[in-house]
Amino acid sequence: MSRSQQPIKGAMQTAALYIHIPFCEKRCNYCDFYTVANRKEAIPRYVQALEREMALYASDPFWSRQTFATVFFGGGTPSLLDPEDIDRILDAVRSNVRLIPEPEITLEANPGTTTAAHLAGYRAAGINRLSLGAQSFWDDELEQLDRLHRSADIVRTVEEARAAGFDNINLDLMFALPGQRPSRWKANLENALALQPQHLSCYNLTLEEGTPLYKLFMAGRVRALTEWRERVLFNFTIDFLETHGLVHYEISNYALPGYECRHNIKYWDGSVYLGLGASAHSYDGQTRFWNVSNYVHYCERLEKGRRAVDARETLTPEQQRFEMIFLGLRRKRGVDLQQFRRGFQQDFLQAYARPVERLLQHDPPLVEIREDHLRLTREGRLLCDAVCAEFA
Amino acid sequence: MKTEQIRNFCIIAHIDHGKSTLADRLLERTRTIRESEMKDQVLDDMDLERERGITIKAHAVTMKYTAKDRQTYTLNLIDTPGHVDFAYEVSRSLAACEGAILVVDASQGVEAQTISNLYQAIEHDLTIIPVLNKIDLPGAEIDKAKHQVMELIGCDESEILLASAKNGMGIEDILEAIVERIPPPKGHADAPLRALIFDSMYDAYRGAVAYIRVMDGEIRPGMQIQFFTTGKVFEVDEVGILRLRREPVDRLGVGEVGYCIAGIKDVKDTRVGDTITDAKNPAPEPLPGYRDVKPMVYAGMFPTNNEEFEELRNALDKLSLNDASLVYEPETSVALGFGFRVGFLGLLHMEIVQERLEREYNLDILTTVPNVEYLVHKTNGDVVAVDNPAELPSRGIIDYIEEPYISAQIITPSEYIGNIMKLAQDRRGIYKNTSYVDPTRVDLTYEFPLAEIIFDFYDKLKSMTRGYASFDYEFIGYRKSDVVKLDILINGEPVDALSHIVHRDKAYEWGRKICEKLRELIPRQLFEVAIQAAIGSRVIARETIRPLRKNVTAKCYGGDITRKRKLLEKQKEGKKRMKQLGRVEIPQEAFLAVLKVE
Repeated sequence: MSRSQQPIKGAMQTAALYIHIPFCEKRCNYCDFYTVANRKEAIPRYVQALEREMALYASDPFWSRQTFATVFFGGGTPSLLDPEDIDRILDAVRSNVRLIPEPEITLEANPGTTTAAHLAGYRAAGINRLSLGAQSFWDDELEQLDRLHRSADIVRTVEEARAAGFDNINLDLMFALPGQRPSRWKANLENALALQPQHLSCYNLTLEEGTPLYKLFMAGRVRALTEWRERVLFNFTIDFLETHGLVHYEISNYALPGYECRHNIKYWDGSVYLGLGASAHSYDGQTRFWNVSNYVHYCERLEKGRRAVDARETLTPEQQRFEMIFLGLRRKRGVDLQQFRRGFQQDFLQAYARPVERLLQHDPPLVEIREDHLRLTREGRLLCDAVCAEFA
Repeated sequence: MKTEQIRNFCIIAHIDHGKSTLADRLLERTRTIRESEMKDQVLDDMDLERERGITIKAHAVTMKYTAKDRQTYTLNLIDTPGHVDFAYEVSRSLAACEGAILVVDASQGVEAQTISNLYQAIEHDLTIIPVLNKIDLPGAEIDKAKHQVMELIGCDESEILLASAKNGMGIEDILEAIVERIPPPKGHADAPLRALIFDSMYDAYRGAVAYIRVMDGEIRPGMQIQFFTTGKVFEVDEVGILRLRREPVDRLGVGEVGYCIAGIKDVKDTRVGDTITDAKNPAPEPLPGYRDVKPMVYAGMFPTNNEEFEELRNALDKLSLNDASLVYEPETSVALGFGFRVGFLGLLHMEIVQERLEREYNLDILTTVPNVEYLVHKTNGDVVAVDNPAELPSRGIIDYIEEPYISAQIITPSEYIGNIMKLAQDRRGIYKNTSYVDPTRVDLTYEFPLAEIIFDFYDKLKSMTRGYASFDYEFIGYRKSDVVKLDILINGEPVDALSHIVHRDKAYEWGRKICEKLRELIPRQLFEVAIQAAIGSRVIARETIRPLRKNVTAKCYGGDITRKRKLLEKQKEGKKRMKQLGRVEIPQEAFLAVLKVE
């Protein structure tokens, strides 16, 4: 890994830290993340491995120099960990790397897996943002998705989280479920807003190859929504949430102003990030690398005092440029053309005159250029992937 | 060498009936070649030929054989290409021989290709030695095959030799029959030189090498020779006979078969069928039967990557060094950029060329739908040959159009006659004749427009007869025909590379099917794609590819970025292989849509 050069896109000064907790009580039928169902007994060993990994990076010449602005416990189901475990991990973080004074520290939690005491414990350990995998407020939809919780669990968990002192709460919701009617989705959004979250992530259900849901779909037992229906739901979501004051700041993310997820933004603005845990990805500004997916192998490697990196790729300038574009386009603020010029010594509109012209010719236009930024229009957001492909 | 001791012959056989194996055994038995030198089937020396199990280019080999009469004979085996695309080459090889071994697989019986080559051999007045091969195979039906052969060439049962080339059975009998039955060459040693070119090849160091059979006179190094068709004069550097390698000799006389090297740079100067004569003492007449080989099928060949045009030109130049029948001219397509319009002897020839370009020259090429050459009679009386639909004159100035016709011979088990007649009807076939080869198999004669059989006729025929039918054809001339140019328009713009010429009766159905096929082959994109088929300004079919309405990945976080980027990069790779027409991206396969229409 070459670290002699400064990362090209080091515009953001601070780094992000991701900690992957692969454990779940049960694997959901749409999920293709690296998760391990029903292995809670392995948690102590895994937490220890995370501590060791953090300590290894403390002596790394590059990562030890970074200042981290965010920490994110993702999964899996991080809320399967007791507050004591979270506390231990965060202790390891604090004693090995530098954090900014008020870091954003998020924990993903599943409604129904937490108690009020747990939530209070997380808060006390330093978690200041809670991301709840609510998915739906319809029990039959939750069942359809294989989720263990019910609608009432969401409401209770949000209330308990408030009581525990959380004032930055995200709800994950999923739309375009097989057969889902717009009225059902609208009710989900209304129910979510009634809980007054600061942030909503609304994900279009994706049939990922290899998942049980995908197999059902291939077998013809589940019918995906048509493109038109998905389009209607997506459009409706944007309108509905924006009229309720949530800004559509990324393809699947909506937030009250000031409550955008600082951690996720780091992925999109080219910041460096360090991932701890099985299958976690890291990026040092030039090279992206990721740990082994198998948590046992992960633990074994760290127990031998070695890193658990599985593979790495060093981005060519061309790949860095393309990442900057497609990650930028997913955001409301778009691609910062001035930053592009600085980073790549090249004028964006000259380098990409043809695709830009094509996208502007589309009726309605798919991109717009304003204040030295290239942004997706409303129509462009619906076609984000195809638009990004134009710049590949 | 005494002409009495020369025997010139070829082997006529259907693919897989054992021609190459028999040739190998003859070479072994005459010690022309040791077993250790033997690659399987020496006469086919191109990999591609070996893979396809067919001999593409004719070669020849000289063998010495001491017969039972204690005399040593020179046996010249002249190989013949085994595919209908190369019928003319076959005829020139036959013209260089006095005899032919007819090899028939004892389990398969006589096939169409065998018959047509046999008829040619009989027309050339060759002595036919019938051989039943593979007699030791369990499926061999020796009596049945014998009767077919007797019926076919009118011989006695006793004249039919039995062999298994694979196991070396019957080889001796064949060699003796060659000596006994095939007459020695005739010719006038004192007459001016006349030598028939039956093949040629290109040698990087020596230039074009003509493979010749001397009919009259003699040819020696130092002699000034002249080619009848071109009139060009060259001085002979070397003549020789063909063993495993070339072996120079002092002279080649009447009846002898060998090669001639004369500092000739281009194989186009050593045309198959041409006559070589003595420049200082020329023969009054060339040998009969020369024909200018004209391509039957034309297609555009374009480099997938437009920058590889020069590489494609170099590759075609090199290929044509060894393949005088390959003709090509630069062509420009609005859709596909710079390329070549290439003429082929037939579809197999086209496939071989395409494969060699890709394999030996590492080029990625796009071949457009092949078509035949039309004769367009204009209202002002001019006649123009059109081998590219894009160049068809406008309708207003066309009086009428003629298209090439072929006479086809199909041999099939009789239970498939119904199917074949239906296929023939679909392809505008004109029924001519039926005769029985034996009680279970018929020989059908049809006339077809060549255009109707160049796509998938042979495949269809094979599949509807479970592989039993065999097929052969020959060009019979041009006939007036009601053909029209079918244009394909993408978003209102005609795509020249997709235009083709069809019979008016079929235009509607074709137009509709091609549009449907294109709709399947062109992926949905940001913009709507309208596909239309039109004759002149009249649109006869239309399909629409709706634009993408939603296309967005839900999640793209730290662990997703690499995967997402790779996905988009892959899309880009796919796009690179597409051709951009206006705002529409068209995959390569689309340009062959016409071929994929059922």
